[in-house]
Amino acid sequence: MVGITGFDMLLAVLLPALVAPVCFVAGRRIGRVWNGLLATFALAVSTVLLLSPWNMVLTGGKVVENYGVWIGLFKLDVVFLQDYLSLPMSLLISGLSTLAAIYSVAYVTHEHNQEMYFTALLLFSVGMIGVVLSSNLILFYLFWELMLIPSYFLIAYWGTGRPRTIGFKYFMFTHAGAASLLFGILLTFAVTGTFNLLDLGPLLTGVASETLRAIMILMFIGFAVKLAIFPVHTWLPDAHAEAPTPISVLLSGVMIEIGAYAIVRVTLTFFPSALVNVAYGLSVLAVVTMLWGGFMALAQTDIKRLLAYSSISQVGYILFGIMSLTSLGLGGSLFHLINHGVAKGLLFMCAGAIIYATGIRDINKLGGLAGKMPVTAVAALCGALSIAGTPPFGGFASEWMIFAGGFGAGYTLLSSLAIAAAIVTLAYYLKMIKRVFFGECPTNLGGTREAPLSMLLPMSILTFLTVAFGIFAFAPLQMVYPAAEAVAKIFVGG
Amino acid sequence: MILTLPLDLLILFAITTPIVYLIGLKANVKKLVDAWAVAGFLLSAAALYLLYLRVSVEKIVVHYWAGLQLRGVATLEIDSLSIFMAGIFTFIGLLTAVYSTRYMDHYTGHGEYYTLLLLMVAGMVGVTFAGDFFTFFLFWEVMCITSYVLVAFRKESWEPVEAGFKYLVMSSAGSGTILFGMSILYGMAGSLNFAYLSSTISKTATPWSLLALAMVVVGLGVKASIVPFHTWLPDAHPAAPSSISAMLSGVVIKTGVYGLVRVMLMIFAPAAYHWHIVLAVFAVLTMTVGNVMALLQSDLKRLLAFSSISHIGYIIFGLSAATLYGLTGGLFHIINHAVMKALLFLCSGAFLFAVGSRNLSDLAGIGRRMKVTGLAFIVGSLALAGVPPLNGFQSEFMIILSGIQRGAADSVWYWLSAIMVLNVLFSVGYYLRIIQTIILREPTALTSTSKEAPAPMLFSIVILAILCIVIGVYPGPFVDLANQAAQAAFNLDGYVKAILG
Repeated sequence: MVGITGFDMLLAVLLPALVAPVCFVAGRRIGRVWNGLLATFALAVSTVLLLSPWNMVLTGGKVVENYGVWIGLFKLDVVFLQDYLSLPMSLLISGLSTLAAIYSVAYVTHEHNQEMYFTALLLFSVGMIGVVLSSNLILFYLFWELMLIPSYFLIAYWGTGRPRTIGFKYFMFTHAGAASLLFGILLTFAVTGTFNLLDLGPLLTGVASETLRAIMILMFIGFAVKLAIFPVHTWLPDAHAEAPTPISVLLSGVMIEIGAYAIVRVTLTFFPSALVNVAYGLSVLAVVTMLWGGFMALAQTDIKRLLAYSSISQVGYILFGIMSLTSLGLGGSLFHLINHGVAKGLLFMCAGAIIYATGIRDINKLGGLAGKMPVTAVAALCGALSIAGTPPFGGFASEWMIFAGGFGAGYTLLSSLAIAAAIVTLAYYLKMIKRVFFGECPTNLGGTREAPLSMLLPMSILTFLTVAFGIFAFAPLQMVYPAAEAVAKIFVGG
Repeated sequence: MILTLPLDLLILFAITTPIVYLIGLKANVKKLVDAWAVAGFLLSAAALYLLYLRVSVEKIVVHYWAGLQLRGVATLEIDSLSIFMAGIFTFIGLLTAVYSTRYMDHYTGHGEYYTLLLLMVAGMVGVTFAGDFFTFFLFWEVMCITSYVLVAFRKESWEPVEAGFKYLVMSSAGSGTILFGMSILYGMAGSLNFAYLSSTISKTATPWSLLALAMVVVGLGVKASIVPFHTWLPDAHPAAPSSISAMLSGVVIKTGVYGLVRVMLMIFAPAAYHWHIVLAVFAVLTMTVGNVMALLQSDLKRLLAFSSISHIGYIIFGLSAATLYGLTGGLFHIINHAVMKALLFLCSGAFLFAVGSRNLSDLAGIGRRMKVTGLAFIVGSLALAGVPPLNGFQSEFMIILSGIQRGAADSVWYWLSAIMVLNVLFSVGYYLRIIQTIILREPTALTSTSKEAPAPMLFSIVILAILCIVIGVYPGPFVDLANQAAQAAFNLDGYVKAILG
């Protein structure tokens, strides 16, 4: 028997999925608080279940759970996989979802249809957790798109601004990327006869290089849209800025990073020969993405839009580290996924707390809130410094590794530009912190009070993690570095 | 006995329905005839299940319904494919009947309505059981004639009458074309039996057999509404009562597809006739026209009717690949489309029942007042849009896969498959539009007071919505059924041997 029950991963996916309809049916009767707690509980149990194979992954490298036949015609089984790569990702997703659910309890006070909100939140989390656990491409694609439906409704129904237009744009962009991904997946099956990631490697060796390149490009387009790489990033600022804040936490904190996960899991692992030729070009794209995101963030006055552009800039770092194809750069990127998830989640929560307390999103109309909202101020500072790559925060460790990886791969010019982009990052975050928390407090904000405890609790946990991952960086690295080494090894030979 | 039982029961109940209706009127039991029709479908479904058990053992069962002397023209030959199709028809028929028990409250003439509905399903089941062209055409016309009347059922208003008349003219022309094709085949082979025809015609293509192929395909194509023979559908399907729209769009057009599968694989074997690429081009044309036209509609039911055309395109594309995966995907999509499209038409019927309009701008925000129907509507629309984890995706990916697999031999198939992918993507646009209008917009004055649909209507809607999710998440058993049916369709030798020995 493996883990707690022998089917931990299935349970981790199924439990929130089964609680979701309960939330919907019982939602009106049990009220907002219990509804939120039910969702939080389901996600917390998932997190524990996903954590349980920790030791076995460290010793054995991976844990595979097979639950039997899914579609017999294609020899597809339902197989979930935890390894060095998926364990930290799945933990980050389920953990951040749990915190977002707690945070939502107070946040959705003024919203309508709260029971549907929590249902959608749970399904959204199920999709994200399922993607990283799936070990065959059809199941992967299924969960990939399951992320899309609830998140679309969360944006289009509870969003701000022009939610339906923004939701439509979000759906069409992501779905177009997914269609390209699907074509790549089906082409893979046409040449190998399997969807199973665990069997795919050897079967791809004899395939013509033009076919491999076509598959690689088709899949990469799909992943890049999710990751919001320049020039397919345009859906992100709208969607992330106008979504309800707890959903922005998940969208910016983990959903886009699943694109990076997928690039490492599928593109790098199975199509190395096709990727090597374009790695430098993609690194250039990564640097363009980080500079573009950075300068756009500098120009924003809407606090959530600023954070959304900052996410674009950060996925540039992540892609840059991956495309260095060295174990240091890859390890840095995988570590940065965690750090960015934690810190960006934290920053969006801070933005949500400010909006909740003041009702204002324009940083020029805010000011002097440090005294009124001390916890939020400290949390925002920690999050901002972590993303800007300041020691001793987590972001420093991972960004340092990414730059080192870039130099190691011989991308001297690009790495220098990447370091320059880090200065831009620091600039817009300091500007944001200064405008929001320091200076003169506008008179109409005199009565501002700190956000409620249920919002401060998840923020405190994440603040702790930004510091902990900086000082005790070895703990997460112990998990992600072997994954990076394994992938980098593929490229050393070729 | 058991061989024809599902068919017999349907016809028996159809004949007795008017009598029961009169008894109900006399005894003042209002819903007697409704219950009688539902019972008819239930019993027939049970009989079909018994027949399925027998077919799953014997593979093919043959029955000469007019005795051995007339075996050339009066044969029922039932294999997994027949059972598969008949099962879908009966199931959707059953749900429609349950739905109608309340939906038809607004209309008079329940006796005629249920008689026609039962007869129409009997006709469709008969078509799938037929082992020769004579029996096929007999039941085909039963189905066609009943459906003409059902389209024009609301004869007080002009729209259904006009649509019904157009449908009658075009569909009769199609039937006439089939008949012409049949007579050519009879002239060539001296028999109408599928098995005889298969053993004589399928090996080599001659000019006459190609002409017969063209005529049969055009005739069946009218029913299946392949572009350019589709123009009756967008008029006829919305004009009918919504329960009938669900039947017409969900299953009746699939009899045309069934006919194509049977005839094109059995009699005009792809190895000799090489119709793949021609059919594939028509399939791609059909889906593109359907999607583009659907985008332009402001009438909900008309939009759904055009979306049916595009889905017929997907199914035909799977058939045109003529591989096991392609046909499995196509047949699987027949189940899926039947479930999704029936669901959406029943939902739009529920909206119509509550508001009395099917114009999209009148229906804005109605999903907020009718939560269960609204939610089911979301599920159905997303399933039609081919978004996983709902059922439409599962079959669409198989169809696209079969196209891509053919691409290895002939690269034009890559482009055709790419067009299908683009079509699926493109279609998301209008499904999202109707979702946004019906669920996300603020309710209008018209919809803000509407109430949830009554229980029997919700029953059918919820069952179909759950099926969309279940098939999407756990497609294994349904794919196996479709695969069995596809294997049966390719099993030429078995089919011929069962008759010729």
